[in-house]
Amino acid sequence: MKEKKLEDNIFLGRVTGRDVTEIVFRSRKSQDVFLGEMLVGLDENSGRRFLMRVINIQHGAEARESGWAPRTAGAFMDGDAHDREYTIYDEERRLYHQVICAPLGYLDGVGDNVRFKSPKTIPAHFSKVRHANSDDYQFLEQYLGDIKVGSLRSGERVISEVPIGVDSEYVCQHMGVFATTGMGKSNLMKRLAGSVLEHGYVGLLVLDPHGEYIDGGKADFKGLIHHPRAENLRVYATRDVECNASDVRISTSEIRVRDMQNLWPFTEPQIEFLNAVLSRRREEWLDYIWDTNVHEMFEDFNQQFFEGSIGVVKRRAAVIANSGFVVRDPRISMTEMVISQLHEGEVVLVDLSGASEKEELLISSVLARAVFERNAHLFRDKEAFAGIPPCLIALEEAQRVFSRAWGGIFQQIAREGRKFKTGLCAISQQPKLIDTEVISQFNTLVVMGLADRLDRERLTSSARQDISKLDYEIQTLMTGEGLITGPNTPFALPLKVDLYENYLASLGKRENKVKNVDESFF
Amino acid sequence: MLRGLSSHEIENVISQIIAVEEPEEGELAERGVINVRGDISPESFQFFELVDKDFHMMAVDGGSATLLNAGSFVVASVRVGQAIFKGAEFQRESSRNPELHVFHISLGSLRKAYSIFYEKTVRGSPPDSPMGLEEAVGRIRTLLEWSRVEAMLADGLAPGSVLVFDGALWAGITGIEDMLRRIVKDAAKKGIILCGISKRSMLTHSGAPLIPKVQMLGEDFHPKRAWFLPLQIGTAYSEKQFGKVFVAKLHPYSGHVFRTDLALPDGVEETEALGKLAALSNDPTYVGYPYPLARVHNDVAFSHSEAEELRHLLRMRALEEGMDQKSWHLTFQEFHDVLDINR
Repeated sequence: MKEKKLEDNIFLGRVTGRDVTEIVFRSRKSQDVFLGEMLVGLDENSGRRFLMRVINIQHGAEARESGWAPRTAGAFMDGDAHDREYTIYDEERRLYHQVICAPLGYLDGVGDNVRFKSPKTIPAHFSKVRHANSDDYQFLEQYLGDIKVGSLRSGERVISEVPIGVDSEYVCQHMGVFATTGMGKSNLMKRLAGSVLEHGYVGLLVLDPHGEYIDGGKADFKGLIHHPRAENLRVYATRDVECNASDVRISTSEIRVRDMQNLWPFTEPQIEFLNAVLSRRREEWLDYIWDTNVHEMFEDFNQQFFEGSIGVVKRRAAVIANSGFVVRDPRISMTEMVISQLHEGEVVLVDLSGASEKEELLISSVLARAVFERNAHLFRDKEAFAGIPPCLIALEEAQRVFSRAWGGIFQQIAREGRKFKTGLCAISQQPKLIDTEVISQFNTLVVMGLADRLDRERLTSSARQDISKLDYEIQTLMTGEGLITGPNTPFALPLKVDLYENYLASLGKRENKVKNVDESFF
Repeated sequence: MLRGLSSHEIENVISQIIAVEEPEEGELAERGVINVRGDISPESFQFFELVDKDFHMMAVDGGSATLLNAGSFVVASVRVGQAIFKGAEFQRESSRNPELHVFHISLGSLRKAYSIFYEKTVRGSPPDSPMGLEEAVGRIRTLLEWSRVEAMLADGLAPGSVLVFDGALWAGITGIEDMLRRIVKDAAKKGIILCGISKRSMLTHSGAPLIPKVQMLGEDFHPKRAWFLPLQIGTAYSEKQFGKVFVAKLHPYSGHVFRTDLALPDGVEETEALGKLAALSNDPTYVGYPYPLARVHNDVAFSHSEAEELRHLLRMRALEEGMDQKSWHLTFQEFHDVLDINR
């Protein structure tokens, strides 16, 4: 097959082996090859282009004797010690790199009939190897996702012509964003939210416990309010923020016994008491505990529960009661507005940085459940259900609610949300703490730099594509680099996330228009 | 203890290795076994300075392989190549492809086959014939090497260049004296340093192999230095020996020294020639050996797979021409292979 003459067609080397699980080629010593680079082995007999990714690079030398390299190094060291210069003649001929690649698949056919096929065969002996070029990437168009977050990456090279993102069609099959601190999780989420602000493919609920998303959190950083399409952004905040924002409010009727159980450990008698109150007072169970003193409750329930047990429940309920974010009047709750905004395909940012951890988890649970249950309810009405976009709930420090010990709404959404257009975006730096069963529900994974082997192993066992050979690459990912695997990706796609500030600059400046939620609400 | 081994024979061999016995001159000397005269003292050794690498060095070497052996005849292959370096850089454009020959040679047609190559290289009829098949292949290889040296000189090398080849400036084959004289004269005229490097030498000193003896003395007298020792070959061999003969250690940390034959143009001292050789003898793999010569040696040597490829080619052609598989097999079967595989 005639190849286009592009700069990327410079040949890097020739295939020397090995099998369908690993392709090895020899490259010039002077030729830069980097881990994670996407290369093409050209089988000139069949015309197939074998896509492969560099997973290891080794030194090679045309020397028959074993131990040649250490001996030669010894000679150099001896020369160093005695001010005597040694020269490796014919370096390019005698020294080389042996590059080991994971086959990704091959492109068969010509022109519009190019088809990508999984790696079930190998390139011919001594096939030429070159960098993948725009022609090779063309087939990826259908797999790149519509919620753009960055560009395809080949090793250290960013292929800016090939934007890459998350597929809105699959967000309800849940996604996970995993990275060690500082590797760019928040930037990725801002970039993702930016795409939603631009195009509104989904309703995105961002639960932000750190206050990073509104204005970027730091002087040089930008936030969602700086986005030119900030008119599609709705902000709820637990603190004073420099934009139009509504107060965070949930009502007591939206809080479930299970929510309390997730916040504190309860004994069996205490749980029995809570269930007894729920059974008798239904949605007013929490109001009842607030309004009634311990002795009255003791009597109301015919002294079936110890006053000590009731006292513990009462004290804990008081913690919730004392929260400024919980109100009795369900009409003041934010949940209805949040749901309708999500159904409009907007980005709803809930800044929870002014709340305690317990409040944050409580509010997150209430909102997530409200969205899930509303969507589940709409499911019965086919027409109404068809009219709502997929809703994605982004949750930071997700390991807290996805551990085996935690029960409740998030696990339920992980199991059932797909059916009801409700997806989770779990953001975590410690995927190893997330329950295996839950993580297996995340069909799209964005894996960024992860130093901990256990974290990587947890993801490797759950990813839709085999990323076991990419372990070293994941270790060496730089800030903003990552891999995306998903139901619609042909292989783990290497990604360079746009720096949010650069992305904003590329959009150009437009007027900042965050709608005042309160105005529309009241 | 190895079964059947006679300790008497071992003792006998060792005493012969150790014995210092002056060789008889005459026929042996004709074949290059020459006893070098003179004492070797610390002062006998001389030194040279490294020369800047800004010069060309051309290297010529040959390799041979027996592809098929039917007992009464062999099919052999000879490859002769060259490598040109400017300083440390290989000059791909000016280095020609190696010359590859495959030929049939039998005891009955030995002279005829040899004559073809002699005529092609030296011109005229050979005054003698090789004694056996192996010697014939060796002679053909040597003739082709000299022919390549001559061709390189004709290519027009820059004055001050070094043309180095594997072997000595010694007419080891009867009848090639004129060819060597011509080569030496041509090199001198063009200002080319002609240099032979011998990995093995038949020179002796007081009956002992000369090269290891000089190496031992050199390392004792002048450790960790590069040096050279001029040899007194005598004038009795002037018809066969062209140029001066030395033993040279081309790198201070080399574990090898070599017989080095030099034919120098007017105005060029041996120290300059050796300094140039030494300048390209610092590859850590081939310390003390000019790298261009190592390179061309590797280029022309037949690997096992190359010999197999040539055998396969010959077999396919023979079958195409009507020879049947069984005849081929029976003609060239090698029972040693069976023995070796099952040893």
